[in-house]
Amino acid sequence: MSENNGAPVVRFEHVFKSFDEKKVLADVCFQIAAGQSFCLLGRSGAGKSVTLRLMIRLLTPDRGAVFVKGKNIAEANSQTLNDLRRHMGFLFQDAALFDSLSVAENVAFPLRRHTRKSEKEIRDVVREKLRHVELEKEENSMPAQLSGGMRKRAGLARALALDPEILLVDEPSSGLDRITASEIYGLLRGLKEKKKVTIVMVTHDPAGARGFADRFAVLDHGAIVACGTVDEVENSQNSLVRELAEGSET
Amino acid sequence: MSGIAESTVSLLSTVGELGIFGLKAVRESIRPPFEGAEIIHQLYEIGWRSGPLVMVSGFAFGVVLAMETGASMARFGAEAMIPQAVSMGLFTDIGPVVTGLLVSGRIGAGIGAQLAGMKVTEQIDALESIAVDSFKYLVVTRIAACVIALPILTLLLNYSGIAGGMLAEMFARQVSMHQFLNEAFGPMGWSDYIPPTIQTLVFGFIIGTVSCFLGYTASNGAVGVGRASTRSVVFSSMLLILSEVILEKIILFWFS
Repeated sequence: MSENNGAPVVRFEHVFKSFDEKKVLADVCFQIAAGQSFCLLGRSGAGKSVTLRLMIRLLTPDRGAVFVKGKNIAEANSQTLNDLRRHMGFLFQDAALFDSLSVAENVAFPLRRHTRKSEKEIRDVVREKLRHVELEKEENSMPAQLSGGMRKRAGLARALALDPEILLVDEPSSGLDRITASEIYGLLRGLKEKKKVTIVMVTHDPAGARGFADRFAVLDHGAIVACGTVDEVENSQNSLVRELAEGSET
Repeated sequence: MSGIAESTVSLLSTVGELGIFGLKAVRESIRPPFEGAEIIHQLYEIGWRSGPLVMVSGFAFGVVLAMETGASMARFGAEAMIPQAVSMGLFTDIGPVVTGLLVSGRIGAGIGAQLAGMKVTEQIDALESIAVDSFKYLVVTRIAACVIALPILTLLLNYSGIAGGMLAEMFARQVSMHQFLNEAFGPMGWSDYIPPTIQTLVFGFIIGTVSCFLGYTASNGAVGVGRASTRSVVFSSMLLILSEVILEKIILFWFS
């Protein structure tokens, strides 16, 4: 396993999570350094999305601790939780855009809630974020009028509205063709390189993430079975790990 | 037999969860931050947009009430009592319940489907992820809007009903507007207005809480959305009628 370069911004300590009788995570431990791109791989139902949701407390662990920026998010009071969430962005698998709001209003929503910016400043930030994801022409469109790739990009613009330090990304390429998926990966790569955002990504498509992910972890049967650089994971003794790391290119 | 026992336990469990949900809504409604802008938006959606339905229905009820009571009272030569029968019938009995049922049909289904849709498409999680208390933002605001809107809508229905009844009487018995209004409102006091208004506050709380609960806790994708929508109307209407019986007893006890 590779060593981390910076202080960990996310740390899982012996995390367990079950739904009724079904154990999803069992004694999961790992950490992610600031500015790192971390890619979580695993078969469907391995608990990848659950892991991502634990990081922002959309779920809470049954046992163990999830530290974000040094604070145990699972036990944080509402003030601390909201402070932490303001430093995080979440790109949902299906973008989860608010369907009663236009694209621009979706991006403006976090700004209106958490900043004291004037309407003009908000409009400028919205335009900048939409330009960044190449959606400036769709600012007045409603989510239902967008294609899958556009929705993802709009979701990314909303997730980036508050300039988060940590970006959580759930299946960025699911339901998209290879070209559109590579555009999304390109945007994520740009965020890592230019803005030094810590990216935690769950994906079935490690090939797309290979260009910019610093570390990969593989979840299987609720446990981390491999964690390291692309080369370390690809050369793992575990055949499942190798298969998942090589992804759809093989 | 075990099926009945399981259904009973499940029903009691749902009632318990609904009670906790309602209490949480009350607690959160008095704790800052207050979502004033969203409450106003919901008042527009729930109150203002229900206005035409309530007014038209009220007007029609007024006409029917005047015609029906007119036919009965004519037998006893008590036609002069028709305006009073219309106003008392609307303000103290029919108005609150009919408004409650109309709003529960229009708004209950809407809230249930909207929140359930947001739940299954992860929009509620998206709200949480951007540090917005989804319960406060989605649930408390809708319940507050229902509680505020119901008394106003009830008054709207009642006065539309009076207008309908008056029009029917003006055509049927050539009663003047002045005479009708005098006879309709003359014998009415505050005790005829206040208890039904309190009743509608409770109806608003029931409609808002039940539909928000069923929408906010929905699951199972599109099926869950449809189920939440249907159940919102069914359960809020049932609870509304049940509470009408209980409130009627309380009102009789307190105000008689």
